[in-house]
Amino acid sequence: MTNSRAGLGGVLLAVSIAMSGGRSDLRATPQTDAEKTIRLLESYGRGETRLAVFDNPETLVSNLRSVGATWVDAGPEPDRIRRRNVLALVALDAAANDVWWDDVKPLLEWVCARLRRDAPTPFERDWMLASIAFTGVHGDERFLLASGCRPPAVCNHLQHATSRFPDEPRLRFADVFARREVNALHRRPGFPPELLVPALPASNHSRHDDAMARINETLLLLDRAATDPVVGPDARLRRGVLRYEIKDLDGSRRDLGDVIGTSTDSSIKYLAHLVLGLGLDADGRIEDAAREYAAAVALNPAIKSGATQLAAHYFLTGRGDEASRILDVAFAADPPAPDPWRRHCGSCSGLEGWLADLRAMVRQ
Amino acid sequence: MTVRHPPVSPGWIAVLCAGLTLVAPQVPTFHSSTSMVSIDVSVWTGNVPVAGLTSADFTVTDNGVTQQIESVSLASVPVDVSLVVDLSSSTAGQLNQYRSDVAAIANLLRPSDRLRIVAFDAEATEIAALQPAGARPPVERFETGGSSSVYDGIAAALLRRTDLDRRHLIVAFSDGGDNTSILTGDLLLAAAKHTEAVLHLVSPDGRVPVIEEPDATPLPRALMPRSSPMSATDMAGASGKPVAAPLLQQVVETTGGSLHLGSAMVSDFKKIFADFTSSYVLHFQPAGVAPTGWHELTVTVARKGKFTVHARRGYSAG
Repeated sequence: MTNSRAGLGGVLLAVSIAMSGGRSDLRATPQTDAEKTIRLLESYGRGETRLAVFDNPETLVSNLRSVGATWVDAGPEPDRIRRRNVLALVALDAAANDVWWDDVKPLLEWVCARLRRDAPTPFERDWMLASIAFTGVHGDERFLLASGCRPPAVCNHLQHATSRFPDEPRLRFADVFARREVNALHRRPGFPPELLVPALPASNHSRHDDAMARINETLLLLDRAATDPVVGPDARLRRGVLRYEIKDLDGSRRDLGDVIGTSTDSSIKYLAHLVLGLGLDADGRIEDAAREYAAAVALNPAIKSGATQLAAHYFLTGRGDEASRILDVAFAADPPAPDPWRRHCGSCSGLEGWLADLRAMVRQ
Repeated sequence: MTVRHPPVSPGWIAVLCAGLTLVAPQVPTFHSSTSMVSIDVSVWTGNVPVAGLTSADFTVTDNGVTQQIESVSLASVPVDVSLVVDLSSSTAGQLNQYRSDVAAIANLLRPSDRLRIVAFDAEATEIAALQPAGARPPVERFETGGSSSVYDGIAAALLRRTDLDRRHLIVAFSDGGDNTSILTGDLLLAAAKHTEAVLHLVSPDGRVPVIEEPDATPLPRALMPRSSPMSATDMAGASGKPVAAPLLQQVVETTGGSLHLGSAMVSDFKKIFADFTSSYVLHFQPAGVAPTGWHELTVTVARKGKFTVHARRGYSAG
């Protein structure tokens, strides 16, 4: 049941488990944080995935960095990499907790640095992709970038990941995706450009010119990503949204129509229908817009952005009962459906698969 | 951060002002008739609601044409109350107060009334679907969040149907501007022109939530009066020249509701609810006016004395 190579902690744990009759949950037995940490790591090594032994992120992070690191290095060399991976997986699971995120992201960069000491492996590649996906889940893409992130010591995670897997398209284009996402709230046509992308910190140009330069740079990067078989649909979606925001409505329609026709990702298709509808609204094509909102709602009636837009259109065109029913359905969803309008996380689509693969790889 | 919404799109201008080709006659006509118009009217003298008025005491004009009031009824029908509560990050320090206030408000309703609770931060959430008066509102579900989607929160109540035998009162509590709604201001204003619900906005910090519009000069916050209620004509820019009322104020006043600035949630609600449940409903058959388009309404009391009259500004017909 316990890892015979686990050292003193493992022995203590084995004793504890024996005393408890073999139950895996020993919270009733007093344990030090160090014992809890080792027990947690070993349980992950057996395929269990519960962080419940720690009720706050500070204790978990500090013990993983001290006790966990010792546990990894204490393993015999053939097992050290597996133990390192176990610790990396525990850190990822902790990163899934929205409330813990700010405390856990320095741990991710610490784990990232430890992974980079050894030769790249498939485990590390999936771990990098999953950790980047979590920045999307929590809306903290600044963690990926070299600037604008606090504290600075835990920034630039994307560059670290890309340096290890330079040919991985999801890493290569994550930079432009991340920079777009940090401004995702401004999804309206006609915004001042400086609100669409952050102005460069120092320049002889005006804020507006800087912003336009950043927008054009972003469009060029998205053009390159748009033809990639892996990230192409997401890039075309983002280009369509950006073109909508800068009032290139025809260009936006081309991109979004293409995405709707080719993508199989329902989240990408949903956002494409929704923004296509908003662009048609901006052009005064109300009935066409309503059709796009209806298509978005058909993909997922529980998402509120599309439901609200469609309900408003129905309400204003004499279909009040239908409007009410649409909102009834959207607001009854429990838990609420994640709304791609609020947060589009293109990097998240593979997350479940990567986590499953990582768990399989560390299981003894 | 504020969001600059685009101007009203030409399509909606067409729908709302000219052809109205898409607008069916569902609103604002009252449920019982497709051609009868009904207006909720409250009349106050000072802080006291005026009772005992009859049809002879009111004058109604529709696009400037005086109308024959066919009946006046006291609004004793059951009320569906929608509370729309701002739980964006700026309200974090008031969370417990909000919980106890909403619980107290639930106790003010009459047995035949119902209560819906919508909360919003970046996204609107229905904390409680319409529930009978007396049911304990699940205020423990209140959690403060990040940004503020005022329009979406109000729309979650405003776009809902009202049963034939009931009236709909929406009271929104918000202290900030909109910055993350999917719904644009022009759509919300259009919906306000079509709804039979009456919307009131209570701003506990005494300021009108301001949303910057690209074609309007935002009113400096320092110029916002702290008295209640406030009308658009009370407000003027630094030059003394009147400026457009903040969009939310237009939305509220279009429905016949008011802004309530700088006071407590429960006491404001008590006054709003008392006003609403003691108000009059005037019914008239429009005569001498175009059958479609936007109809501007005025309601006055033809009696000696100084009265404050609250009624919707108009209705869209199609």
